[in-house]
Amino acid sequence: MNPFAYARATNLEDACQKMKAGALLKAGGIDLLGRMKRGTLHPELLVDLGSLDKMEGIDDLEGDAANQAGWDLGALLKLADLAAVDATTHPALAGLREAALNTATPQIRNRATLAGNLLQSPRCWYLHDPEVPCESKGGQGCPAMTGRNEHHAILGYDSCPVTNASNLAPVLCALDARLVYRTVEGKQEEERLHVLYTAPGKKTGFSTHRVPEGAIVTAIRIPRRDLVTAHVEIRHKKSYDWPLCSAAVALRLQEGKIAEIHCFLGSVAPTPHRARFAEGLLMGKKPGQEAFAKAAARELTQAKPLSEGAYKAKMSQLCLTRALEEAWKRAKENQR
Amino acid sequence: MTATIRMTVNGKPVVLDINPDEMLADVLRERLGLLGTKIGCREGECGACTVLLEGQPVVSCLLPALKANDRSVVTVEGLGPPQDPHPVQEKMALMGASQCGYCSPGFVMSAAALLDENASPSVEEIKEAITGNLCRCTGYAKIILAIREAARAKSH
Repeated sequence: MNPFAYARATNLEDACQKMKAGALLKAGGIDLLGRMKRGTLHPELLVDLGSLDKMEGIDDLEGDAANQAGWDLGALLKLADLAAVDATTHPALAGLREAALNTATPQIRNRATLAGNLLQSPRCWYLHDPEVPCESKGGQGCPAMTGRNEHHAILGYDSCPVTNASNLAPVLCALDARLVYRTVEGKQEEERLHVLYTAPGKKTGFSTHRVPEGAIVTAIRIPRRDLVTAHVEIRHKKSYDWPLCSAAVALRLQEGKIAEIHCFLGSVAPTPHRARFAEGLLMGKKPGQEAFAKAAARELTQAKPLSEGAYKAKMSQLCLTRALEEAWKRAKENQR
Repeated sequence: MTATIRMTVNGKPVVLDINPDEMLADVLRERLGLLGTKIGCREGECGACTVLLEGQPVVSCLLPALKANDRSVVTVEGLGPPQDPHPVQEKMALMGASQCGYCSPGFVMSAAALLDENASPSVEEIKEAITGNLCRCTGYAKIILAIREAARAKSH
């Protein structure tokens, strides 16, 4: 790791000024320090946001009975705190809690932050190896295309088949969460999380998101709480690992039919993959196991796995089916 | 560029001039001679370097020492001296829950933090609490038994 200087941000403007001078932001530092230790990132100055404690909580948004408002989750909220939310009183957060609880290890969840999890570098063993050139690191071509690619994308990739590594992103996308950020000009803006994610490629400068340069994420806004969520994942290891596949579903039932549904798949694409076909097949329909299985199967017919990724299409289909079943079950319980 | 940090380590105030790129694990071992904290992977995977920061288990290899400024740190040395060990230390030693011993301090810290929050954890809760610690010798069964026994001993 290169030697670096370190500064604590006294406020967001201070952090912003230091970033203009070339500093990288540090929150929990889990992804950042890993990349610095591997030698793929060499910042000379880190600016630490950790002491801005107003960004660590869960705040209720103001709403009324007809328009149930949701929550603002602080950008620096620890995953351990998210894993401890009371999902029995808030079924909208049940899937989020599950996703947080399965992330990394207890020690890491005590330090890792929500925004850091959402904007961590994507998964690809070639990308994180400083010895292996690839176009994302300024070299040529993609070694995964012809090399080992069992953990790579099967959907939505162009020339760079990384997978989005955030375990929380699919369920937050399903909840239509917004990223609230402060721009370099000091303005507060918000944008849908699933719109901000982008597949890396030449056009995007190999970035995985469209958060403007120099902006600082301050909160993750869940606009409402009338959806029921579920998160299902399959992984090799219970701990310190990413899922092989995951699926998140948020839905609302009305008079026995699916009045609203949002499905996102994790670990299969450079962004959380919106399962539009499945959503379309289920919207307005009566829920049931057969309909779920059919919708999930339809979604994965578009998969384009690389040489070692065919298993992921089947596994992702299974995750989606199970997440739909679990969300349905919870929606029924919630109605009682 | 060095910076001065003030922290409490095992109950004692410590003032140190450190470099910003020094991780807490190295500061504990090399500056303070607290060699009980082990370094395995340096990537947060193995948990050998687990210490308590404000009572919570964290991996000290991924924690810049600057982040411990104004905070309390407890290492395995701080849990209990050999003549008066913490119940987790005592039971792990007595019940053969340690073979090569390299991972043991990390397990002790995760287990001690668990028992501080949950006086009578289930086996599942014990397993969850130690998911961030790797052991390549014992196969975990004896570690889990020792933590369960420590919980019993501690609550009596």
